[in-house]
Amino acid sequence: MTRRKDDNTVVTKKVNEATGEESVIIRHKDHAKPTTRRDFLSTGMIGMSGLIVAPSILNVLARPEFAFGADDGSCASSAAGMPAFITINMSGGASISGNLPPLDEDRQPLPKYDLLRLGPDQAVFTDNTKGRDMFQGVRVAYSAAMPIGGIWKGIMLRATQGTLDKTSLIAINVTSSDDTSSNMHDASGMIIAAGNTGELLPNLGQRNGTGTGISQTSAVVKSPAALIANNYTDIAGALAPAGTLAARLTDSRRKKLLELVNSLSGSQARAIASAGSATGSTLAQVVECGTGKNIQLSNALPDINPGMNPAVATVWGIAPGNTNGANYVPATIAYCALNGSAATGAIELGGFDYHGAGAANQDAADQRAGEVIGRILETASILGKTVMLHIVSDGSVSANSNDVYGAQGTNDSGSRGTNLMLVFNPTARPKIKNDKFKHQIGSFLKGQGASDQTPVATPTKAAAAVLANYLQLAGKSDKLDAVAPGIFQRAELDEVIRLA
Amino acid sequence: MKKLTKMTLSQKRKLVAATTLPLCAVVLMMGFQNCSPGVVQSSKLASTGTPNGATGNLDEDTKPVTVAYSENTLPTMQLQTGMQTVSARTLTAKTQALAKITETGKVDTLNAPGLMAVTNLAGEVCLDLITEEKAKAAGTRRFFNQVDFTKAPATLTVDNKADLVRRMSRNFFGRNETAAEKTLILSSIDGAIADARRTGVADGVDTEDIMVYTCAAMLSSLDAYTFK
Repeated sequence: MTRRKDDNTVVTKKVNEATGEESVIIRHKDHAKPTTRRDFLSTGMIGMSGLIVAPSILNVLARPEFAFGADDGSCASSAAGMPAFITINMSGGASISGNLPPLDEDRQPLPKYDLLRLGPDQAVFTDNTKGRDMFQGVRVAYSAAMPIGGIWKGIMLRATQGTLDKTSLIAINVTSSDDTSSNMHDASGMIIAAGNTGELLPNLGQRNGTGTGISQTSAVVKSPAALIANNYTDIAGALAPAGTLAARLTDSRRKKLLELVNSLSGSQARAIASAGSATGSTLAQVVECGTGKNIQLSNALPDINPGMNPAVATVWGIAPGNTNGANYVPATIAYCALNGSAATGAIELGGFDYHGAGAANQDAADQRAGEVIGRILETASILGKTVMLHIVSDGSVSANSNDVYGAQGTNDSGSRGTNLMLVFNPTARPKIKNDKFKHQIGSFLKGQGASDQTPVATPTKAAAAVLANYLQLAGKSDKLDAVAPGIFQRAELDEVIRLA
Repeated sequence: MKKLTKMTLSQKRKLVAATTLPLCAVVLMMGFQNCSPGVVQSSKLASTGTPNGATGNLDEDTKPVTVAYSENTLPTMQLQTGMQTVSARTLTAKTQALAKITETGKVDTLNAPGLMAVTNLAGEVCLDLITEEKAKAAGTRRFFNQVDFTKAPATLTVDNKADLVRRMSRNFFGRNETAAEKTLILSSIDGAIADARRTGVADGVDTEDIMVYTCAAMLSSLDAYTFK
């Protein structure tokens, strides 16, 4: 029995004569009645398949690696030409704002700096015994006679004026939590996702447990697990057969072993890939490249030893015969990050939970960090490499109200935090934009705490600001949205990107 | 209750749906638990070690593949070799390898140092295995029952070596070796035997070295630590 329901729809009622079962079929008037298996499939499956497939395609298109271009299947690193990136964590809550007096929203000095150890006035900006201009006219706190400005003292001790003339400084004012590794200050995951992958080694670090190699947590993009280096052999040993294989196999047999692993793994990986697995295809490439690289490495130890470069060894005060020296690990991390062997470097400096330890001790600790920074800059100069240093901490300190210039920080005070970016280019000093934001991203309030009403209100956003400037330095600003999508409003980028 | 033959088509469909759908749901929920921790421990966009930024995305892959991750690499090797305990030397090597081997097992976190660390750890496990089996009567050994540890490796026949490869393949790969793999491994072993041995070592020690060579290569090749 068939009857018209309206002008567009036909309703058909059917009765099964054997069972008495009734069924109702509703169809559009302009559609033919489906009669075959194909008809049924075409009416139902097309729409359904669209629903299933569309989100997957969108996901694929949204992936950064898609945006960065297709993989050519070669084993070449995409890091060529990217600036080096090294993070230095002053673990414990360093007084970075006490080394670089922050400015307010209009980039004017605050009324006073007593809580930041710089006195109950603005004298650090006018009195050259309390401050000095460095890095394109940035006013830093510095006193030859007082325990202030340790970071700059350390840098000037280890880097030549020629190197400093090609270095720029950017400050990021941001609050972070005191004495914890949970602050998302680490930008290395984003830097690596942007293409700074190492030729031989992954990102290097010194601290286990966080994945970043320092006591900071990844921001936006999780960092690949850092290769933890407690000594030089941790890095060198990662590139060659060690232990039993080194002891029981001759050179020739070790090479043959790696060739056998490469051949076996390669054929096995290709079998997985041919089964139609996308991850299997990636696996095939990764394994063939990885094991192939190990064969290359077995033929000649790569250039990872800073002690073998006399000029670099002098800068760090190291000797190749004593790889257990205190400076050997940070020197190796910096050297490998700078020459492209490693993806990024992360150096952990302890001893900055120093509130109440006395101004002299605080200044000495700051100087120790400054010396590491200065040595890295000088190494970059020797190697002729462009580098961005990201100096972070967990929290900060505050001095007592109305304390004098050079007073000690007495309390943990994460709201007074500042991060630094130091950018060295061997050709010429990287230019900072000549605009109202000057060298500073974010700002401080009159109460001498970082404002939370800026584009870098959180450690995550501060780390993303580092990425934005890194990409600007690398000439790849177009990758920002792919790596950290939507993290900044378009208008905020004027302030966030400080490099011209 | 109605007999099946007297049910209407609609009633039959409802019955089938009511019985099979819950069953399917149970299978899906229970059957794929703990395939590999790497599947659920996401590390999105971790790109180091992957040439040109290529990554595998398990969330979108219908045939995901993961590898043994850092914490379970040694237990996996112990299972494959049948070793309930390993030496202190191997445990130290495992600790040193932890930071180098992928934490998640996701393929896009693999890199050359990580693969080297797996090979190095395999070398330690294999030496433990040789030490354990050498102490047993040849006929009771799991892997080396055709290997004479008092003679030079050159005395091993093709059948002796093929037997070794078959045993390791079944235990390490979970399958017989392919013809191509067999040819490759036997040829490589012969090449290693033809190389000069370490200075001053006796025939039996050189045989041990060749067994370390063979075992470490097979135990650290991809199929020995891949979940697919």
